[in-house]
Amino acid sequence: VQGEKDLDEGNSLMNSIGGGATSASEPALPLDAQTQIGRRLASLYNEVLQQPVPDRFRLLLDELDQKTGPSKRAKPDEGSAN
Amino acid sequence: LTDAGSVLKDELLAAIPALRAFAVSLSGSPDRADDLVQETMMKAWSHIGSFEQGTNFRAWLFTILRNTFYSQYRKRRYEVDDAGHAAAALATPPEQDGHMDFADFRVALQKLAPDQREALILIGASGLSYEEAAEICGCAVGTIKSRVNRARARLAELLGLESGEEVGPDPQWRGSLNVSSPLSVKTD
Repeated sequence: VQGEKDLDEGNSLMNSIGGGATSASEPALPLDAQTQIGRRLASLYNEVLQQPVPDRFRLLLDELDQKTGPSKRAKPDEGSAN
Repeated sequence: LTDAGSVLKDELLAAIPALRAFAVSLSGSPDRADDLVQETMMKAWSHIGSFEQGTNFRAWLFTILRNTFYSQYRKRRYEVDDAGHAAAALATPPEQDGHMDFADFRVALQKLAPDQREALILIGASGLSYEEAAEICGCAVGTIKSRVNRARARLAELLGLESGEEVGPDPQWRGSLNVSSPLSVKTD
């Protein structure tokens, strides 16, 4: 979890660039194409969003809960990922 | 504090559908997506101490997931290539010109540069704001806007949409869409 350094970089960049920078080299798409892309993307995303949660994730949560318990909150350096 | 674990459990459980949707669109592979979600859940569990109370939990989880995706992407670029080939093999090239079906769309989405794909998904599908997307990606709001624009333009190019000669949804066109999409089994 290395979010914070990135966030700081992002913030300073944001200050130097400013909000709505869209370069002139990007051609505007016909609205129709944008709409179609938006619909396909939303339908791909929503299809997965509406699926029930697979058992493996419920089992994983039970396992995590039993293994570490709530008291591990203060020890973020725990864990073998990476 | 005694029920912190069960609160976290509930919140993680509630976030799983969104995490899976993000992971599938980002990685292009359902199997890979679920591995990403699993790793995200494990990291979230062990790093919950670094989550700032009162901030957006889902955005925090998305950040973990995309960071995991990118570190795998860098490590195993060849596998990403394999996934791309697999996706391309699954998609039947359309016989009609001018129409875009779902399989084409999936393949085209995976051809985008990952940072552009990610921005498009966050803005165009996940319902997050430009500000939240910028936080997740660790970049400026303007960068997100520009990536979304480039993603749309590239998709339109890949799908042949930029000519403005899109055919309308006549019945034949609908029929072929249903046949060629592996996920659409409607027979109307």
